[in-house]
Amino acid sequence: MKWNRHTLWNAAWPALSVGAVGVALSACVSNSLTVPLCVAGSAVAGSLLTAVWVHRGQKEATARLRHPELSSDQSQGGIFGEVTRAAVTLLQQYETELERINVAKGELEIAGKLQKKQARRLDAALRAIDYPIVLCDSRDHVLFGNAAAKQLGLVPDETSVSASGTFGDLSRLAAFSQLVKETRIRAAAAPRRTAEMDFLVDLQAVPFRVSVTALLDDRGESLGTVALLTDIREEKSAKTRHAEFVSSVAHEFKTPMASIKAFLELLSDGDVSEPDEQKDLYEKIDSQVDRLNRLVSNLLNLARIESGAMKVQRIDCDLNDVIHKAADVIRPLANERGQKFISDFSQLYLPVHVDLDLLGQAVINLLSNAVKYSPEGACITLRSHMEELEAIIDVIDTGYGIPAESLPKIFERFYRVPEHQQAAKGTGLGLAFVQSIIEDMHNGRIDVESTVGTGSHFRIRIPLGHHDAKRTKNKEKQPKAELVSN
Amino acid sequence: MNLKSRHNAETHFMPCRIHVCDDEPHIVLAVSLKFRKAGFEVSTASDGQSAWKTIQAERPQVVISDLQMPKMDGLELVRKMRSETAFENVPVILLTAKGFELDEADLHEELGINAVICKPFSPRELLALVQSLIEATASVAE
Repeated sequence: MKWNRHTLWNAAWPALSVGAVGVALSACVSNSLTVPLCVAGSAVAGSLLTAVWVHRGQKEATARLRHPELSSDQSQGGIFGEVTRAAVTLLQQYETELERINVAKGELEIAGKLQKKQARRLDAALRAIDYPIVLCDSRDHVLFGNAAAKQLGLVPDETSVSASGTFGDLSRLAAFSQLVKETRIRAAAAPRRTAEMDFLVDLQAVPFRVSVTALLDDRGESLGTVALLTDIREEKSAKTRHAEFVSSVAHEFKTPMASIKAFLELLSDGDVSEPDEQKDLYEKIDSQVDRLNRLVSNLLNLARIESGAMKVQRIDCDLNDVIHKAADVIRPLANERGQKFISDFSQLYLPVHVDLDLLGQAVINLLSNAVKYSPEGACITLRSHMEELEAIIDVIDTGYGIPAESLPKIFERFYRVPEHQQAAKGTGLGLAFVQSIIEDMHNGRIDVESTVGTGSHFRIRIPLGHHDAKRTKNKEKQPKAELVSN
Repeated sequence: MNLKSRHNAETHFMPCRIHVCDDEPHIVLAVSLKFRKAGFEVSTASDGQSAWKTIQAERPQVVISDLQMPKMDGLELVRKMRSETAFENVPVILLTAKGFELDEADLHEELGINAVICKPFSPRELLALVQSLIEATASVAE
């Protein structure tokens, strides 16, 4: 083929036209990624078209030599058509590819937004957690600490942000910092380390359990550490209470055991020779054995109540039925001691849903205390009435009264009012029972008012109302362990 | 001569006096019976405050005291005793059910408590201990 102005133009126009389309498309897409892609694509497409055109031109020249009868216009029109079709096909492919790229771009944008949302959610979650959390990088610098951690001073102020973008180091809290460092360095041996440390909260030293975990990537490279702190005040307090309880139990057992051992030794050593004296000691030993037995029973019952193992058989009944029985038990005891016993029961039916035996025992315990800690001639009153939505039982005595400093402690296990210890025997568990029975088993409440020398007033409140008459009416009661009054 | 007979011989005209202080009446009774039988004069109290008054009045040679008592506990009672010259060297024995929770060496160093006896205890051994303390005090005085 001979190259002249005409043939040169014929060769260049497809390339130029496709390139122009490419530039136009890139302008439409206006994206930093797609512009060079479009230009490059246009250039390639143009070159391809030119090559096709040149190849077709050569074939046309050959055909013209072989078939001179064909006009040049016809052969020229055929080449143009093929080139146009090829260009259109390429453009269509290009458009399809662009569409695919745009879809992928959209998906990426959505994924990015989701990722940002997820990060914000995680950040909000960490900030919302009450437990102090501190995230450190692989140089032990604090990257993040929630509000609780900031309160403990584990996150340095943002004003101390260093040039590297971290929040400074933990040198202020050497022990914590050391634990973080050790966990990171020795992550292979133990990825988690725990220690107990005190931190200042409202100017008071508060014990925390610090658990630091090393963060490693897939290749085992350190990403830093995360520290979670737990306030263990309550845990420590529970342990202390348990230790005190065990100590009290041991003391309560040892005291009667000491009497028994001492009396037996006196008898065997012949220190008590008179038959009357000997009889007296044997009776004392017997009473101390009873005391031990009472202590064991009370402890077992208390444990069963607190563990929920005590079966509660609540039935619908009149509260007056409960206190009538309690009055029948205590009245003779009060009379024996020369005390006046007054029953002042409500004339109304007081509907309650209670365990007759347990609630009865609670009332007996209160009445028994009233009798034990009141002198001869005192007055013991048992009263019932209705007040708003509650059935009320009052146990009032004109006895010794409880000192103000002892009032907050009287429901504690083994607590005995020091001034009353000589007045009567006791395990210090009776009122703990009463409180458990009223508050834990009957959703009620017990309060006390007392004045030394005037007397005490215990008030039990039980929610009014029957539970389900049909369901509980014919329910047979199971035998249960006897509760022993203190 | 064993300790008991020697003690009885030496204190023929002036029997030894001890004070027993415990809020558990049975313990007071058992200790009193044992020591009276051995020839001692025994004063008793059921709380720290009345014990301190009795000690000041009776001037016992040995004090046997419970730890937990109403009004004034055993340690406070000993502090009161040590604060007065007349009682700063009087031997004290703590008789307590909480003996295992106490450090006897610390109590000896800080308050001059001579021994801690854990309940349940043997009246016989308690008597022997008191006799040895009285003997030791007497030999120091000589």
